[in-house]
Amino acid sequence: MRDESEQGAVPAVQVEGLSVAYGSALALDKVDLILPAGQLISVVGPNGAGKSTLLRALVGSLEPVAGTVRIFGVDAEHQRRLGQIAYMPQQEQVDWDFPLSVRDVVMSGRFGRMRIEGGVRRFLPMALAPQRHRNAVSQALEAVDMHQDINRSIDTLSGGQRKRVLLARALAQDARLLLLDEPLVGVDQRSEALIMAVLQQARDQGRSVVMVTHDIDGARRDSDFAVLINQTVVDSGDPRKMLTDELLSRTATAAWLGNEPSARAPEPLEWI
Amino acid sequence: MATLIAVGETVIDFLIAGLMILVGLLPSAIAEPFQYAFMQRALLTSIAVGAVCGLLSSYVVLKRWALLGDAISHAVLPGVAIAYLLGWPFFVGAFATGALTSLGIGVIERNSRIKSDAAMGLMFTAAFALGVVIISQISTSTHLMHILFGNVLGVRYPALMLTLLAGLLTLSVVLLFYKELLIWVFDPVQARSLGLNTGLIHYGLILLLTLTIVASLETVGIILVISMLITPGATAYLLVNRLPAMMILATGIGVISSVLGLFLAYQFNLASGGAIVLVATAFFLLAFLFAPQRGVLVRKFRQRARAAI
Repeated sequence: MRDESEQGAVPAVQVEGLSVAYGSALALDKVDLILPAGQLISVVGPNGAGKSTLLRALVGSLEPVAGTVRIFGVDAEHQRRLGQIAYMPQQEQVDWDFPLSVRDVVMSGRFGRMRIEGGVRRFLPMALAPQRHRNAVSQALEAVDMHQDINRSIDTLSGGQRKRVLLARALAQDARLLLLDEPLVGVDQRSEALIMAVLQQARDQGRSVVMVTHDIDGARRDSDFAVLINQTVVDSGDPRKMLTDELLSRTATAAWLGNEPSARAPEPLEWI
Repeated sequence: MATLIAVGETVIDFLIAGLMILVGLLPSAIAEPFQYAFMQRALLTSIAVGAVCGLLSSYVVLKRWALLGDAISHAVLPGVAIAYLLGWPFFVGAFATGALTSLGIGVIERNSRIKSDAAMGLMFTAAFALGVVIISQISTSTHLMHILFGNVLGVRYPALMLTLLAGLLTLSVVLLFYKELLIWVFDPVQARSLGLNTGLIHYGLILLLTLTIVASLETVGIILVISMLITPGATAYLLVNRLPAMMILATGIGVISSVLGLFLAYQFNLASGGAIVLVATAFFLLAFLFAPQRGVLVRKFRQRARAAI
């Protein structure tokens, strides 16, 4: 095990001068950001502020125009190949009519491990994966209380169940950094409480958890660190100091009051 | 090279001999047409084309690549025409223009506000038009008809070898990289988060699709090949709930459609490509109406039964 102080010293995420564009419109503009390791972190900002874009840039699915991303002090792509970055998408992002079972989806979270550890066995079908991968899938599904549904087809799941399956997939990966895009949107209270408990448990195990959220009260109450974002990082730090009315309204207007000329027209901004 | 071709021909002869043993078990009325060498070659080609197309059709359906497949298949035409003029093997040209067009679609999409469906429609009709113009300069038009609509009864050894190789390559890639493909088709962002080279997977699958289309040219032709890359997968999608089952079933439906289509084409003197596609479509209609869970008529019937209770 690593020394506590050493682990605290290396940030989970270190972003410098990150700009991401969709066509000619800048979604993120020269973002500098340091996210401490081993904490539960909320990313907050109005619609269209670039929160999901930030996660996707960390995941590597969006190629930045400029800037660098380091994860636990190392180049992000290296950490990705090591399977250290787990990602939970918004549920509309995947096609739930896909012919897969709950087990198949969660097992896909183990793929990184299989690839690294597997040797020739990485080519085996998932059904023949070594026992420890199947155990990890079972544990992840138990953690989100979905184990009884392991053989169900994903097209029969409810909204909250879909969220929990995607969360289980991220948990099964056994990664040091978890990136979650709106894990609490569209779920009932029971699922919400369960998801938060799982995320806190992951944090207590020493993982770094970064979630995009619209629930300001929940973020103030439950997270250790908050990031206010609107095209660029407005501020970051202690959630009780960050998530004040004054800073939130400053965030809402930051994109078009900022000193950088914005490619986007000011749109009506809403907190949902 | 010459020995390689000789080996290939021997392998094909062995495969055909094996097939003939199976055909010999069938009633003589059905087995009768397969005493001719051209029908034996056609049978082997049909099986290979049906299997490869069926296998890939699952990905085409799930990835919503139907239009892209259509685009590539049309884009193959100018390549065939140019290769014909230069005296090259037709699949070299076909592969080149097919791959170029799919790259061109990506370039237009990324560098302008044109969306992918318009980019595809634009590129493949342009390529197809180029093909038509070139072919209009070639005096004989039978060649064009065979490219457009296929003629499985005239398949010769080189084409058959290409088809088998394409099938072997596709099958190996799908088996070895099943997990990578699954993750990428289901959730490309997750694939990136695991450090997979999604660009390589994307273009790799497009190249495989192009190769399959080129290999299927002589059997079902440019216009109809896309049906074999959609219909078996769509049919299987209605019938089962697991990806491996869907892929196996789609492969089976592809093979059965091809063989049955070939037989009907011989018996009733029909165009082989059309017959094969119509059989596949008949399977789809059956599944659409009668699939155990998702069939339209089955659902209606269940609703009525429930109302009666």
